[in-house]
This record gives sequence, C-alpha cells and structure tokens, in this order.
Amino acid sequence: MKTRDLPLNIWLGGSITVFFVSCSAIALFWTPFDPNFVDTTKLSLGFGEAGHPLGTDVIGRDLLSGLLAGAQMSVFLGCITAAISVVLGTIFAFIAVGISKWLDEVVMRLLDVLMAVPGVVVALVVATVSGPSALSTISVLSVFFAPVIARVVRSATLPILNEDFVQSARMYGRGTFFVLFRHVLPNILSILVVQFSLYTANSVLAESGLSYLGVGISRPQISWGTLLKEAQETVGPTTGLMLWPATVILIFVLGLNLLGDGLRDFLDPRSAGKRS
Amino acid sequence: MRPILQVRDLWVSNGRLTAVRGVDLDVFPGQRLGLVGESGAGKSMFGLAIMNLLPFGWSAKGSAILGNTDLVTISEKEHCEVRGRRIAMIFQDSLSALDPMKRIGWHFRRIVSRASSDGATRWQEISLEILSNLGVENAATALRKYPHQLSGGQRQRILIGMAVATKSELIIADEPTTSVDTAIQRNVLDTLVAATSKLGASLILVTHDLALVSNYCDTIAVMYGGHLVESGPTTEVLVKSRHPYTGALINSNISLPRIIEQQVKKLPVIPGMMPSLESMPIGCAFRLRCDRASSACEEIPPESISEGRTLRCWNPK
Amino acid sequence: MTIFLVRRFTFFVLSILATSGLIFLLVRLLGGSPASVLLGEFSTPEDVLALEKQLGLHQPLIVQYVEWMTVLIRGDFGVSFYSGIELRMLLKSALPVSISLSVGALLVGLAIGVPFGIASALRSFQGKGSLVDFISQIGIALPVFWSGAVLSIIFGVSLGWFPTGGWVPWSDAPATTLRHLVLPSVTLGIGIGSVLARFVRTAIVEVMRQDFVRTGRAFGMSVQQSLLVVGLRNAALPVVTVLGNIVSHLVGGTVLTETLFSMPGLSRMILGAVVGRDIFVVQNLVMLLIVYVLVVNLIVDISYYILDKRLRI
Repeated sequence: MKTRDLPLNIWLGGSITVFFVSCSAIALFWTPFDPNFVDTTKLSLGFGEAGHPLGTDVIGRDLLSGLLAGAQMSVFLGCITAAISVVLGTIFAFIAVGISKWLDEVVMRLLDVLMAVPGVVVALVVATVSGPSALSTISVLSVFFAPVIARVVRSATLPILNEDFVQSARMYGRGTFFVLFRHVLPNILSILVVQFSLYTANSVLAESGLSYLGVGISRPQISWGTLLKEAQETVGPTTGLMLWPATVILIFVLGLNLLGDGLRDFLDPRSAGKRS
Repeated sequence: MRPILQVRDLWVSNGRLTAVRGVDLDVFPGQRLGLVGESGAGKSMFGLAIMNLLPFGWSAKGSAILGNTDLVTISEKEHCEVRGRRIAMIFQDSLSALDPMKRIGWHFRRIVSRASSDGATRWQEISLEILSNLGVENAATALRKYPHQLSGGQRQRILIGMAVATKSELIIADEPTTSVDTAIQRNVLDTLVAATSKLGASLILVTHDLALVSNYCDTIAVMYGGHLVESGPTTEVLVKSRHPYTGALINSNISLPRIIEQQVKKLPVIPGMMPSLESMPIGCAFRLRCDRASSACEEIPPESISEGRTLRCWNPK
Repeated sequence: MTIFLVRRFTFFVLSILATSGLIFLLVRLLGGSPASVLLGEFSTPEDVLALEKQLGLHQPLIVQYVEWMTVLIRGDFGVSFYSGIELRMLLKSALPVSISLSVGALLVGLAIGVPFGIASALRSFQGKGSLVDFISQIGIALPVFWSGAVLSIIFGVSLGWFPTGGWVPWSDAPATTLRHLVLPSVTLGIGIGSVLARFVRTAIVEVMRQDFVRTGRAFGMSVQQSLLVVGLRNAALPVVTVLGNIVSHLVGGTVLTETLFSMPGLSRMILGAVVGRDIFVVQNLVMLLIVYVLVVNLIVDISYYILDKRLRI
C-alpha cells in the first residue's frame, strides 16, 4: 500500500509521531548543549543568539537541548504509562467479563467510582507522601487510565464472546481464559493499538501537567512539564520560555491523536461512521 | 372526475439504488387504493416521496400533482404547508413515531390548531370527539399520557386520529396494522376506513396483505421491484389478474380455512425471492421468477391502459 | 422512583467510603509514616516517634479512620502543620476564587459549545459538512498551559485588555474581579466548549434520525422547528450525562489554570501543602475535592432520571 493511499490522519499523525520519537532517540546520545549546564554568561538569550537556536533560560541553560531531553523523557514516560494502562485495562476487563456476572457488576461499579475521581488530586497525594518522581507519576496515571480502557476493551470483548467460533471453543471444553487470550485478544489487537496511541497522548499531557505543578519530574531529570514550570516561576507564562515547550507538547499530542483516530478508522472501518 | 393526485413517471433513488421506477398512478376523490407489494417493493418509498420525507440521500424525479401543486418540484418550505393540511400520513410503528417526551395531547393541540380557525381554543373538545369516534377508551386520560404508557392498538388509533384531525384530502396509511395484534387488526382498519370516508378523504393503504386490500379497498395497485405492474378495480384484478406476479401473489395468499378444507399439503409459494435493490435485473423485475418470461422481458414492458386497468407485462394472461 | 434514589444514594455513600478509604490508606501506608513525611528528611527517629504519638498514629487504623471521618463531616479540615492556621480560614478566601473560575469556565464552555453544536447538527442534517467538527477536535487537545499562554500574550500583554494574573476579591471591586476572570475562564472554557460542541452535535444528530422527528415533519413542522422543539429536549438527556464527566475534568483543569494565572485559589493551597509535605492538609483538601465531584455526579444522575420520562412509569 503506497503512502499516498493512507488517509491524511495517519499520514500527518504518523509523521509527527515519528519525528518526535526520532528526536528523543537522538537525545539519548546527543544534544547541542548539556541541558543542565548553567552558563551565567549567557542569561536569557533570545532566538538564535550566541549559537543557541532557541535561546536560553534565566540561568543560561540551552532551551533546545532542554526540549530534546524533555522529548526523551516525555515520549518514554508516555509510552510506558500507556502500555501499562492498556495491559492493566485489558486485564481488568477480562477478569470482569471472564469470571462471573456478579464480579463483572462489582468491577464495573468500582471502575465507575475510579473514573469519577479526578486523577490529578490522587497524584497530588501520592506525590506528597512519596515524593514526586517518574515512578509515582507513571503509577498514578496508569491506575487512572486503566478503568477507561477497561471499559472500551470490555465492550469490544462482549460481542466477540457471543460469536459462534467462541461458543464452539467453549463446547470443546476450553477454559474461559484460554478463550480470552487465544481468540479474543487477536481480534481486539487493533483496538488496543489505537488506545495505546491515544493514551500516550493523554499520558504526555497529564505528565506535563503534573510536572508543571511540581509533582512530577524535576531536575536533573527534564521533561517538557518541568520546563513549563521553570518558565512559569521565573519569567511568567507570557514568554517564549513557556510557549516553546507548550507548543511542542501541543503538536505531539495532536499528532498522536490524529494517528490514533486515523488508525481507528483505518483498522476498523465500521467505527468510521460513528465518529462524530 | 378529476383525480386529486396524479403521479407520472415517478422515480426514487439515492444515486446508487433505485426504489421506485417510473410509477404512474391516479388517485380519485373518496377512492380507497390498496398499494400492495412485498417488503422492498418500493411502496413505502412511494408514499414518503410524495411527502418529501425520504431518508437522507434519496430524492424523487417525475411529477406528482396534488390539485395544482407538483409535489416533486416544490421547495421544502412549501411542503411544510402541504403536509398535515392536504396530505396526512399514518406510520407503521406507532411507538417510534411518537416523541417519547411529549404527551399525546401536545400533538393534537398542534394539529387541531393548525387545521381550523377555532382550533386553538377548542382543541381539546375536537380531539376528544375524534378519539372517541375512533374507539379510544378514556380519551381524556389518553391525551395526558405519554406514548409508552399506551397499548399498541390505542397508539395506532391515535395516529389515525392525528391524520384525521388534519382534515386532509389524502391520507396515506403505511402498513398501519403490521405492528398491531392480529386480533385487533380488523378493528383498527374498520376504524380507519370509517374515519376516512367520514372526512371525505381519499386513502392510500400501503400493505403487503392482499386480504386487507380485498376487504377494504376499491382499487388495487400492485408493485414489484419498484415497478407498478398492475392496477385496477380490486374485484376485477383479483378475480381476473393479468400480471403473472399478481396471479402468483393471489395464489400464495391462501386462507387457513381453505387449507383445512382442501387439505392443502404444500403451500403455494412463488419460487425465489424479490431481488434486492442492489441486484435488480434489467428489464422486468419479475422476469427471473416468472413462468411466462420470454426474451422480450429483458426490456421494461411499457404501460398499457385499458378499461380502467393498467398493466406492465409482455406476456399477460 | 424511590428504589432508584435509594440505590443511587447507596452508591454515593459507598463511593465516598471507598475513595476516602483509598486516600486514607495511601496517606498512612505509602512512603513510611506520615510523621516522617511531615518532619522531613532531617528528622530523627525520636522526633518521628514523638509526633506519631501526638497525632495518634499508633491507634488501630479503623479508629483513626473513623476519627478522621467524623471530624471531616463536621467541616473541620484541620490545621496546617507549619503555619498552625485553621484550614477553614484559608478556605474562606481560596474557595471563592476557585468557584468563580469553575463557574466562569462552565459558562464560557456552554456559550461556545451549545450554539456551535446545534449549528453543526443543523448543517449535518441538511447534508452539508461542518468546520466545527475539525475545530472542536483541536480544541479538545489544546493543553491549558498553551492556550492560556497564547491568550495571555495576545490579550494580556500585546493588547493589554485583561490582566494576566492575580486576583481581587469580589467584595472589593467586582468589575476588576471580572476582568481578572476573563482570560482564565476562556482558557479553561475552550476545552469544555469543544467537548460540549461535539457531544451536543452527536446527540442532536442521533435524535433527528429518529422516526418521531419524521412524524413531526409529516404534520407540518420545518426542520428547524423540529430541531428546536423535538431535538433539543431529547438531546438534552445524553448531554446531561457528559456534564458530570466535564465537571470531573474541570477540577484538574482549574488546578492548572489557577497556577498559570497565579490565582490564589484552592490549587495554590494544595500545591503549597504538597511542596511543604503538609500531608494532612493535602489529604483533607483532596477529600473535599473528591466529595465535590461525587456530589455533582449524584446530582447529574438524578437530574437525568427526572428528565427521562421513560424511566418513570
């Protein structure tokens, strides 16, 4: 299939995603400057001054390097959180659906409650108690994303379980979990991929927010959210120092959303009509 | 007598599929026309086309002249004037046809106010009269209820009542008894026919049930595959049908008493199925199931009119 | 009707118990003793033990939980470990800020979302495409810090129409307060409006496809009329359900927005406590927010039940 045949969503979203992933890969080995290097001779430089393509912050750290390092962290965190959420969500859904109706009811209600609670606040509690870190961020976010994904997986699984080939597998004495993994999982793989893409976007957004508030990643580790926080605390939200990381986040999230939506329509044409 | 509705060469399609193909039909004042056909034959689309209520993407071509208004060419805005004033429709599924959030009275108030000058003030009186004439018990309570609180039969009568309240010249009843218990089907139809004649309106009864048509309609029009294959006075057509499809349809409409009496072992059935809109054969739509088909049938037969009967067939009986 | 109310209320109470239990356990069990959290890195084990005794942390968990709940229900949110100030006092000045922002954002969201949603639905019904669809998709993804920054730069700094930060209490100068509210409310409202627009549109389009809309038209209603009279009332139902969801997200959004615009609201209180490791303050404030969200969801569910006549035979 030629690239020209792919719908715009995937084309555009995919390129953006690939671009960012490459940036983070590059950042693993090289950045123009050491993002944590404080150079008091070069404070608050502007666009392109003194060899700093995007300028520096108030204590002389290169912004572009910061963005690249942040890309690495955000992409990494985003993917891991999304992956854990998808796996957790699928497990929840399978447990709910596979064991008994009663358990299904209970699990679903529990997930309802979990979904009503804004995850931000719980993240704050965890951060207070165990100190802000990448690990706490990942854990809290996964726990709050998993229920929503569980919902999606569950509603996708139920119709498959009712299909004939599953019934016949059951009649052959195959256990429920065997059925779930062997038969259902391959069929919902496309859904899981879409959710992974969309939730990487959500994770990046959420982690940026948390780091921005100061309860996520902090120096010497750098994420886009950390850069935002520093901008807010030093020169305020109305300068390039804030706008650059913010825009970068925006584009990456948009790209991932486009990719996710595009994949969703592409892999399952039936849902294309449902997109509002 | 001039017909109140003259349909000429009506085509209904959505660009890809065609549901109605070149139908010519006349409806006269006070006439009760039975539009018969299997599901998918195009009879419902015919009614919807006349009222410009086709589903999204479908449009009509040709002409359908009501009085001196061509319903195919006028704008949507002009249609709003015609609907519920000169033509009224009774839908098949009474539950889905009524807004679940509105009481029955709300509908009647609108319709009656629109239909007469003193309707706005006297709507309750008028609606109660209509409903009780239609056999709706506790009409006053019914007006205050919501659709889901009433039985199917009551709702159907309410739909009939709404149509009658418009004082239209033409009422199109689209399978009004299909979603109603068989036991009260006759009852509901009696009501419909009585109300229509009292109003002096013409009735187009769209149905797949030949028995209903034979009992209630003076004229019959048979549709198949979007074509109008035969029409004429009911008794004449049923006794001496000319189109092979009509004949087969009549044969397969065998009543239970006759089955018992004649000890019928094998129910007469027309072999095959009516082709779907996507796989319509060229020429006469019935060609592939007809035992009288010939090579001529690969072209759509022209309409022949004689002694008040129309026919589209190369090889009539 | 009563059965539904009883069931729903039971669920509400259970939710509160479950979430408070979760928070309680998180605070007590994660990362060591709360006392050591409060005292920080440089505390000695003796200090920690002494504080634990003082705070009653050696009592059985159940006892601690019940104590906490009873105090909370009475509206006593405790005291800041460092300043000693009662939280109730601090809340008095912080709550109006957060509430004003939430209300403002909701109003902006409704003002944008509903009309655009309706217009988009109308166009869809008439077979024309709609730009709203595309724009709303972007609007949903806009991070608060981005739109806030951009709006601040354009309307705050360049044009100078509105202040980009700070706050003046309503009682002092209402007009200025309003000016302070504009940029933050619009920032937060854009996201809400986008979600609403899509939802309203889908809800209306779904309704317009129903048979009873055709019946309305069959008796003379125009498309616009049927949308207003029939469509809206029926579409209101699914929209009500999403409002509950929106409010949930609103909490997270207000925290970010208040920080961006340096507003002295609830989030500043909480964040200050988080940074200062004032764990019990965080615990109580978080509980307050959770209860608020659960109450809103309860109200939404009940309203939905009242509105949908079909459920009330």
